[in-house]
Amino acid sequence: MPKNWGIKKIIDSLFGKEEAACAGHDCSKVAKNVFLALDGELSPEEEKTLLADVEKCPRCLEYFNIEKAFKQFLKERIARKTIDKGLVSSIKEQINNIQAQ
Amino acid sequence: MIIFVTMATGIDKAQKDKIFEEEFFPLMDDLYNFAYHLTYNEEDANDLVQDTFMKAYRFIKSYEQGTNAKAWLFRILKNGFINEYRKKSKQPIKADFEDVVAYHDSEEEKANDVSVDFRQDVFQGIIGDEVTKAINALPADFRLVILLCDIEGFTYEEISKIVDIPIGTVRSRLHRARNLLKEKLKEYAEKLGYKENN
Repeated sequence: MPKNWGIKKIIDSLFGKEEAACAGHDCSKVAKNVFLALDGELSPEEEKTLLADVEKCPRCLEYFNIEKAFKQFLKERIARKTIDKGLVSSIKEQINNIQAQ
Repeated sequence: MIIFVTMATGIDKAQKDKIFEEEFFPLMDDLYNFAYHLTYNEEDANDLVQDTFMKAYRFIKSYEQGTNAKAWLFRILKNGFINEYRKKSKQPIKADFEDVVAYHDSEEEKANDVSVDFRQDVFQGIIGDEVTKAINALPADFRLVILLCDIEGFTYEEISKIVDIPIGTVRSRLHRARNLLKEKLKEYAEKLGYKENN
C-alpha cells in the first residue's frame, strides 16, 4: 500500500481520478506538508514554497482549505474556561504559607 | 529552546516569589482551561491545577527562571492527570487505551484520512459542548495532543517534551487523533443532515 494512500484517496474523491495527475507537482507530498504548515511547523521559506504549490493546484488548494477550516472550527467551538477567583486566592495563599514556614 | 534544566544552586524565597508572581500565576487560566478540557469536570480541573502549583513549588529547583514556564507547568499538570487517569482506568472492564494508542501510533502511514468539509453550513449547528464531548470521548493520549496543539498552540517540540514522546510520534498521534475526532463530529453532523461530497 503506498505511503500516502489516505491523502491520495481524499484528493481523488474530491476531484476525480482522471484529474489525479498534476504535471511537475506531487499532490501527496504537498498534502502531507499542509498539516505542518497549518500547525506552524514549517520555516517561513518552506511555508512560502508550500503555499505557492498549493495555489497552483486546485486540488491542493481545496485540501488546504478543508484542513484549515477544521482547525478554525475547533478553535472557534472550544470556549476557553477561566479559573474561579476563589481558587486563585486559595492557591496563592497556600504557596505563601508554605514559603513562610 | 531548552525547557527543562536542573539548576545547581538553591532558590531563595525572593526568587521563588518572583517566579510564581511573574511567570507561574499569570498562567492559571491556561492551566485551568487545559485541565477542564482534559477532565471535563470543574472539580477535577480545580484539583489538578491546585496540585500542579503545589508540585511546581516542590520541584522549583528543576525550573530555570525565564524559560518556558507554560510548557513546564503543563507537563506537571499532564503527569498529574495521567496518574489519576491510570488509577481510575485500573477497573478491569475498561479498555487499555495505551494499547489502543500504541496501535494507532504504529498505523499512521497506513491510515485512511477522514475527509470532512467543516465549511458546510451543517457544522455551524454544532455547538461547543458537542465538540468538547467529542474530544472527551477520545482516548486520553489523543485528547492530550489535540488540546496541546489545536487549542493551546504548542509547537510539536514543546508537545514532545510535555507528553514525553518523540516529535515523530507527536505528528502521527495528532494525525490519528484528528481523524478520530473528525469521525466523531461527522457522525454527529450526519444526524443534523450532513452528507459527504454535496
